[in-house]
Amino acid sequence: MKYIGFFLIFLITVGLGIMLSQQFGSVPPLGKLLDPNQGFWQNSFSEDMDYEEELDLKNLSNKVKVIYDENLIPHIFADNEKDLYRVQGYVTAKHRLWQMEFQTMAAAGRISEIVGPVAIELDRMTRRKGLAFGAETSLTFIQKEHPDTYELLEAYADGVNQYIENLPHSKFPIEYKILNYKPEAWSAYKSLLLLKYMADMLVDDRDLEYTNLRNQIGQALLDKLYPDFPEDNDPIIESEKIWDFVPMEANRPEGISFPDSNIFVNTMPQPVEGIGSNNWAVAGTKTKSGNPILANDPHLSLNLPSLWYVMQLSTSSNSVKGATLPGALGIISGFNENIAWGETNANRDTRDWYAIQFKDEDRTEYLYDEVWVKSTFRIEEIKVKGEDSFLDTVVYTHYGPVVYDKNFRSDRKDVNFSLKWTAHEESNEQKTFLLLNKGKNHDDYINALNHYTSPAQNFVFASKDGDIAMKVQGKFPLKWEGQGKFLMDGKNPDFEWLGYIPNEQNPSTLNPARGFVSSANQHSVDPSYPYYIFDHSFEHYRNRRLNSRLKEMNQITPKDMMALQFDNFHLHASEALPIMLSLLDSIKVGSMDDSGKKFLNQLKTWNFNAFPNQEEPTLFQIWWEKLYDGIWSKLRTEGRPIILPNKYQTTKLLKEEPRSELFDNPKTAEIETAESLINASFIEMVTKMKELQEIDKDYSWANYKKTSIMHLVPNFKSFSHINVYTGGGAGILNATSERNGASWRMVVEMGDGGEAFGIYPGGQSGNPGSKYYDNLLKKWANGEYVDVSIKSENAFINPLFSTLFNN
Amino acid sequence: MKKALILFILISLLVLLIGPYAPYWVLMIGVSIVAFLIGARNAPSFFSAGLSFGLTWMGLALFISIKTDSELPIRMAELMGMQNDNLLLFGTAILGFLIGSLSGLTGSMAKKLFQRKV
Repeated sequence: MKYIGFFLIFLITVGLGIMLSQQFGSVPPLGKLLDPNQGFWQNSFSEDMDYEEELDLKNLSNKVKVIYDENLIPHIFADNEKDLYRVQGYVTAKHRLWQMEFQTMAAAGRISEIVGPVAIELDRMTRRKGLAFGAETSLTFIQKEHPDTYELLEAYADGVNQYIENLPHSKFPIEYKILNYKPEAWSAYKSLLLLKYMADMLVDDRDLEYTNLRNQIGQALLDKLYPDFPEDNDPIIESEKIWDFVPMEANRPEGISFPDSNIFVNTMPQPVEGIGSNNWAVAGTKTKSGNPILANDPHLSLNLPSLWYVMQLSTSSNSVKGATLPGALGIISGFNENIAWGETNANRDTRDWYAIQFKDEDRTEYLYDEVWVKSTFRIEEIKVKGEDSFLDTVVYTHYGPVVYDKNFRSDRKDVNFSLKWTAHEESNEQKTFLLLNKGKNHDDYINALNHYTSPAQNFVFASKDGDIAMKVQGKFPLKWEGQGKFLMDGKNPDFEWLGYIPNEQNPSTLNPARGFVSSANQHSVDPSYPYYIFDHSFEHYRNRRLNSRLKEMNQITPKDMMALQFDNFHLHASEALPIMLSLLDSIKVGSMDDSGKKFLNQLKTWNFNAFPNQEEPTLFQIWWEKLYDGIWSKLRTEGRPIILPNKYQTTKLLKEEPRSELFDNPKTAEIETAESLINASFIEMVTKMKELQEIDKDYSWANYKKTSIMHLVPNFKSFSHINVYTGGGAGILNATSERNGASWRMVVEMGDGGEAFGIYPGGQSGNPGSKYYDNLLKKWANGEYVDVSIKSENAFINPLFSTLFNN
Repeated sequence: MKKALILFILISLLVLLIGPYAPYWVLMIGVSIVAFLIGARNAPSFFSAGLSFGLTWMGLALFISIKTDSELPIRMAELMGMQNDNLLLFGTAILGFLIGSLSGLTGSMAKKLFQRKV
């Protein structure tokens, strides 16, 4: 009897022990997680409660000191670059390990390994886009052609890995504990993957959508509604710029025509509107101190842990400070004692699609220039948590991966679209940043940029010498007019890119007469630039607001630049609303109930600012959305992706051709005009507002747009900040929309005594249990900054703590 | 009663001293061994080991919580669908009790297998 009793209890005990270490569905392993010695409780410590004053790091040539300021910003003081980047790797991993690994897993299409089968579709898309393929190509290239970069990438990886090797389970970042997996070794390859992750986040194309549109509305209407240049073009490089080079030839082949069948594939998710950035620099002639001032605020998806991580990196010969991307070496947007730089996304169609004709279903050969060419196969093994691996075969042509085919997002056997993208090519973007970090002048900046391929950026520059500059840099394909705007015929060599625009012919300017340089993702140039430039997503509002303000400003101080980054003027509303109001039928509104009249009065007296407490931006936003939908939703067909005209062209049409037949919906009996649609949408807006008021009394702008800083795992809502009280919006300089906005704001005054300021929505720590996880968020939401000026090793009066790395 | 007290103290020390370096299932084995060696009767082994383990875990969690003043317990409670972070503290304690008591009982019952009936 006692044997049976023992056996039973023994089994129950073992069963309990095993059960508590297992994950059931989304329920994490409770024993491991709740154990106060090992589980989540251990992640409650902020970094300043738990640090080493000294520790040993292998492979250092000298001692390295790291001093943290009150915001947990590390200042690394090393003797040489190799020591510096080794410690950068270690320190970054200490605060952001989970995030840096997760982002590279995302870029490699490995999310299913962590979260299970829900991510297979996402991973397939990532892999079919060829991000890992691109990173592998670049790795081989860097190993062979840039051993100096490779050595530093390895040093960084070694620093990360030494941190991981000595990491007990109790100190694992909490996400590992909840999702029940372990960090793996870092490598140079992963740093390159991270840069591909950025390319993926920032590059967009709508070739397939445009192909459908052209078939649907015809080339003439397409050109009218989607012109290559807008009427109020206010480009990045000032229009006065003279292009003093002999351009390469790029003539449209005679008699060429694009494939014209309709495309029914479920196209990939594109970066949402609102991803974009501002940067500018003003010359000493326009500033109070006489020194140039540079500002940068990249608008990206607002996430926690924060995308950016601020550091100062000092060697015996150089000190640089600013925002790093955890996983990449050096500072990405920042300054040293001589120069400052920052980036915005340079929109350009660097991603093109080719329709491939295979010989048979095996797809081992495809037709090109009238001969059969061999394709290659890349088998992607997607490991899936809790299930067998998913195998996906991706066919590669000389253009690149066949993304859409019978196995992926298309039901038709004859769909084979191959993607050609500059991000697949050999490149060493990392070198650009390594060189910028120690750059001393304009020549160094240009030299650094020459290594930069993708994602193309507008690099702003200012120097202690008084120079300001801007360069649109990326590896840009040389295209004939219209090339790559639509799906191209993969059989016909005439559709091949003709080559690349030489770096020195990329749009750039140095010390323009207007005394400032600026970019906000708008058109790079005016039509006089001798190359064909096309992109779908150029900005039309922030650029004009920014340039008009910079033109009229003088005696500028860093404070003025901060105010400009936080500028809430809604230029689109200021242009569209007067038209909408003028076409609104006052008699109809007069017969409406009180709320309709009240809303109208509010809109009539609006100052066009989008501060968080204002109600008018909400009214305008809803009215605009209803109107826009009323005008264009008729173009949509289920299953056939297209792209609708942007708000700039829509506003222009409302203003200039209110009676245009484009407003009419042929499916209805009556003839719609701008006027009728404006009136109908106003009534819809009033109805919607009443609904909103019933659910949620407060319809102030902040409460309506609900800016949210979400944890990278969307389910982890309690690690996120939802409904942050802040103003701005898409198309506004303070471009804080629901999920996107200034992910980093920086203002730097050059010269002796120049100060630098920065802020981002989050904090230095990646640990949701730390007080440094989100301590900067409130300041960010209020438009405040922290001092990020370069500090010398003995200038710290009251450091948070410091760590000495012994060799 | 004396044996139960010794068991209580030893298990608490085990959790405090070995816990930081080993996962909970190693502690479970440890508890069983200690209970085996002490050889208390089943009921006292069960309750003493359970209370010791559970209270030590709760004490540790409470200590960390007070010392760090972190928002993490609140965030974790919300993530796990609990209204109140105190529930998480009790959850930790109850889980500790279960782990400790069953391991203790296993140990004491094993001892019985080797004891001759008097």
